[in-house]
Amino acid sequence: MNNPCPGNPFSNDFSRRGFLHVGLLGGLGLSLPQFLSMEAKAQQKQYKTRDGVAKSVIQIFLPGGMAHQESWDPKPYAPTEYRGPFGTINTSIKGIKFSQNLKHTAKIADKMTIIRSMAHGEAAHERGTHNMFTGYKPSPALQYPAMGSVVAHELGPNNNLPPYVCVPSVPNEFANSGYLSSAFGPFAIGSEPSRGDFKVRDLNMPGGVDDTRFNRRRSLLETVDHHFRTIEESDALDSMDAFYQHAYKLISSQKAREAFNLKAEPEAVQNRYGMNTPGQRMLLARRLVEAGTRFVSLTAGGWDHHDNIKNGIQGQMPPVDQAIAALISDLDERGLLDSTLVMVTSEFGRTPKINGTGGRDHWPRVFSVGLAGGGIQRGLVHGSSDALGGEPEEDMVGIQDLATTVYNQLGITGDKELMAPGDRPIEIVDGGRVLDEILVKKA
Amino acid sequence: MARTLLLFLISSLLAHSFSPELSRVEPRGGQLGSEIQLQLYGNRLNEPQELLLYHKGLTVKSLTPSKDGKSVKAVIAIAPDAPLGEHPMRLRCKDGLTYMRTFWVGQFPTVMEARTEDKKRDLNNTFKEPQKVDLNVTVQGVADREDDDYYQVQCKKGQRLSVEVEAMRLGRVMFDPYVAILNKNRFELAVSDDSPLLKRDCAASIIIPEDGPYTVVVRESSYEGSTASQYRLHIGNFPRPQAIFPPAAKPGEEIEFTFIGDAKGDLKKKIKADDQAFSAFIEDAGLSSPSGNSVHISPLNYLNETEPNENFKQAYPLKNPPKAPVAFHGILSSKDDNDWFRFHAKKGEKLRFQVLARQLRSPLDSLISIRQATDNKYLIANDDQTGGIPDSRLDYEIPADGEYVLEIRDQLRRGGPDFVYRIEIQNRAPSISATLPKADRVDTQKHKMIHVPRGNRLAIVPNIARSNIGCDIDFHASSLPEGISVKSYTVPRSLSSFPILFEAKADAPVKGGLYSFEIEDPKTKLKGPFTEKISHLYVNNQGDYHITDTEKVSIAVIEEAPFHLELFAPPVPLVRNGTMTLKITANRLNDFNKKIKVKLPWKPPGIGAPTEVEIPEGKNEVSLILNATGDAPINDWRILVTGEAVTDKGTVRVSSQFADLKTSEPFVNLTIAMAATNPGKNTSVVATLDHLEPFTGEARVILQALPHGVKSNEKKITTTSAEVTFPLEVTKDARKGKHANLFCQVIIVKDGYPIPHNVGQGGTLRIDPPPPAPKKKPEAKVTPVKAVQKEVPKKPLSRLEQLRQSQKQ
Repeated sequence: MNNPCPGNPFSNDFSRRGFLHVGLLGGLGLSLPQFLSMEAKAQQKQYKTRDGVAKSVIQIFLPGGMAHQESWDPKPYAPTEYRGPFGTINTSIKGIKFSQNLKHTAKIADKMTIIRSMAHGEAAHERGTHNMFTGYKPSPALQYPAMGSVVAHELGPNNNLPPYVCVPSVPNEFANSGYLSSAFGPFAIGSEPSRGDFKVRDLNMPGGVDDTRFNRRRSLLETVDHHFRTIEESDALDSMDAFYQHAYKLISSQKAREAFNLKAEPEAVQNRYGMNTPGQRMLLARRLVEAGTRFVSLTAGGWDHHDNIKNGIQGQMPPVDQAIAALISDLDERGLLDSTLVMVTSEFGRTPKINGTGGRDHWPRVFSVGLAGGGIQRGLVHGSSDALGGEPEEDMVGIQDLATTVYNQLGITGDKELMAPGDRPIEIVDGGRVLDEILVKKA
Repeated sequence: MARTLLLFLISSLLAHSFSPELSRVEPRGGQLGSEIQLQLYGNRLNEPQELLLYHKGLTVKSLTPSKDGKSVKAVIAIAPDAPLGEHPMRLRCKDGLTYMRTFWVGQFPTVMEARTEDKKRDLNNTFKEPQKVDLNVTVQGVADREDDDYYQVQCKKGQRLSVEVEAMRLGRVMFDPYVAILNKNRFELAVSDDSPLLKRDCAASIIIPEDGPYTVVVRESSYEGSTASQYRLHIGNFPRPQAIFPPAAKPGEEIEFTFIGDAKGDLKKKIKADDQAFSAFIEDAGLSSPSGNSVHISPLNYLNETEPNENFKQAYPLKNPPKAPVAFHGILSSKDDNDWFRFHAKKGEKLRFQVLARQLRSPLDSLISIRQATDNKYLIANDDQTGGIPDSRLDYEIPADGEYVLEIRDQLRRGGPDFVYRIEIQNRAPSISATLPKADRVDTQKHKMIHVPRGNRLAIVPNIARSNIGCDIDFHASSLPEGISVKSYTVPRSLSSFPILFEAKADAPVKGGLYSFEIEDPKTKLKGPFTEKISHLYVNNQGDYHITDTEKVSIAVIEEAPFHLELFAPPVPLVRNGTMTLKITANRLNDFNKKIKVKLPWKPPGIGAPTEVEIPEGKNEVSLILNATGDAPINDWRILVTGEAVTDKGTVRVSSQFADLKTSEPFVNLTIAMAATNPGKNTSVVATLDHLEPFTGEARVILQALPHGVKSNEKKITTTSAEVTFPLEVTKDARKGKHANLFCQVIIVKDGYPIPHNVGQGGTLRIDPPPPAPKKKPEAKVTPVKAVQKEVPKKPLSRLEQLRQSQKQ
């Protein structure tokens, strides 16, 4: 027998007795790998999905690494080269200031919780992004699923809508289903909502195809699929099938299709969000969660301001600020905020000190995250960074804590194990605790 | 009226423009001994004055600008003895100097790549329909995306067919070329992508096996070219050696060099060495290699290896080993080869062992070790130490008088006839140099030209490199354009950058050129060059792909700028942990009212400032606040500011005069005692003062960074105050938590100017939730006691006293 590497489930030395035992099962129709797979499944940590406080999540991801100093966590008393080029603005939370750039969001801060003490220590874009999308540090051994995919896996679709939607496209490789079947991958709408000719790809029947013809085509396809299934076994087939099923449901449900119809929004509402990329993406996100989508992930702007952060922020922030404020207020007015968790995140923060070219570089040792709704407290600032915005000063929050909390509010227990290829049970979140102190209603 | 308007428009187009921009030179090269018409393309190229050339051999006959300022026609003559290769140039216009661009001199006539008449498509994209060219030509072409360019030549058996591509070297875009020589059946006879000799560029050479057509194909190595991926392909019978031996010579020495690795075998030539490192060219049958082989120049004595010297016992020379300092030259001529050398050194000598191989374009990845000659005892070894290239460098103090041996081999045990190296063994010599740093990560030539507007100033901030010496530095400009003067101060040894201010007289002639500067240690009189490293292609985190090194800096007087800047620094010190407000005034000329961005191009150590402040449109003043860290060095500094404005005619920069800035200890320090309270309960914060320097009058003290719901008033102190107490009004909705960033701003006034101190950082105020209401105890019989006196604290309670009190409760 070869000497397998440590950690391999086949590396255990079997005693003759053990071997006979396994062999016995084999005789009953179980091969050794099947037996080990069953054993692994039996030992999985299982938790029942509970009724969540939050029914949906809108993840607003600001790619590039938004400076916490120029947004949620300004340092007005720091020396000028730390303070940066902007002043502050009072928020609707007494005694809390945001950077002057968040003038709209400052007014609705009393509906939000700001965590000012996030940290994960990963200073490269792809690693930071991985952390924020999956709740895990990257591993060469495993591709972790994005939070949206885990939610799709655990909660499944609702009202015929895809459970996990990316607006407008899958923003990065870590927003995918990882070790889960690609059936739980994101549905990318494939078109920019802010464009005048916005139309979700493949949502309507091809021209000249009526219901009868469509159903005939569908049964033909099922026949072909059935044939394949008898000769081939593959995740791709299953997931393709799942995609087709989603697509059929979408195409056949007028209500579901209507969720993507931005033109149905009154002009005043569209203007409230802003007739621009972030505004229309967030408006579409609201329509989707309103219709029943579990997890909407969208990106807005580019925040990698290594040079001239003043220009960068002045260019990027106004539409994002307006749209975030509009989204949270709109959800609240519609009575949806308590059941929709909005997260505004970025892969990391930026260096405390302004660099030689007037920018800030990557800084994962402390940064801020904005949360609202879904049982999250209103008008809270949790944790703090130090006087220069360089390290967490109080109540450091790790990415596992944030992920565990978000999952918890959806009724998913972070400690639950999902099965990765090779029968490796992997926790949804490895460690992490529910941040009870930021919750007003715990699921 | 219409005519007047037209005239005005034309004259304004012709009028001078700041920041002329030269983007490319066409064609990219020309032939020795020819006259050629160049098109210099760019923006704002009005009123070109001269072409500044870095090398001899080119003569400018005429410069004719286009009406729109977007190009200049230059007629130049290329001398028959002009050096082959790169000729950097800048265009000097009346209002500025352009970036450096390059022109390439070759020995062959230039042929352009065949294209359709509308220039939309190549006509040489297939092997079956190549572009037929003569031997010994240079083709200028473009390797577009997924574009193969085929050229066919007719050759005779026994002829040498060589090709060499200049692509990355042209410095326009990131373009990694690939070249191959194919026979008539499309079999590759030679291919080349990258080589140590030409870096990302390539060359190939074969002896023709039989008469007939041969095809040369050029493309981007991963088919990712663009319309800007230009190349110059030399096709001919020229020699293309891979290496030269010896790789170095003494200045002015005439020796016979062997050019190694040509298709026809080694070639020899006697060459008189230059005084500085140079490229050696070999000719065969009247044709030269298109680019040379690098020869290092040093006054060091050297020995060329004599085989066999492959092991410890054969270490060369066997007898009478040379005394350090000395250099050895050799070739690791085959796989697994290693070379041994013997030398003599004295105890205590601090020697540097430096390999020069890859930096002279040898394929060798060196590994050296030093051993004792008596018993082969291993002493020390080194692989890669020379900034980003695999040449070994080792510093070693000789432990005892005697003989030592040195072994060199390739890290991967490779070898070949072109694995040439030089090993220098010498005392670590002190050296200094200065250079203008990159002002922008992408725009690598930004602010590398010094244009000084008439009657105005411009500062540069060079970086200094000191090696094996710590010294002060003086800057010297032995010559400058007429009417320009320079102001600089001795740079302390602790600094690695410093500002130099150039000032042009109001009547200075609008002229300029390439000038050499020098730096000097005023104590030892050690001199060092002021070098210019122009990066044509730079990729973030990867470095430079093509650079031009020169010791000439471009400087010119340009027409008057539309504003002057004055810097006012208050005549009081900037204290550690303090701030200072500088005032910058713009004197605008005529109707100029655009905004001006103002920066401190250089900050003394420990001093912080905003990256940029702005004098708004139509305004004349702006403040810039400096702050000093708690450990800022105490010194007398001189600072200045530089302003940049985008005018209708381009961008113009000017600097202020130098202003004095003194840093000092704070006059007073203070410590804030920790305080704690509950919402709605007033308290006070006590700060203890520590006077370091007496001051007159009263100073204002403001407690800063108080949380929401807490207010305090400004207090006054004198130089004799021992402490200061801030009564705090705490509202019921005061923000609960630990507020640990309190500090005091102390403003002392001297001679009418404020000296702000930010002291006492880290002061803490805790606002705890109100204590739970005490549980009602069952009423016990109480004996009447005397009424408790109402407590009136004479002095605010310390944290400890408060705790004790709450414990009692």
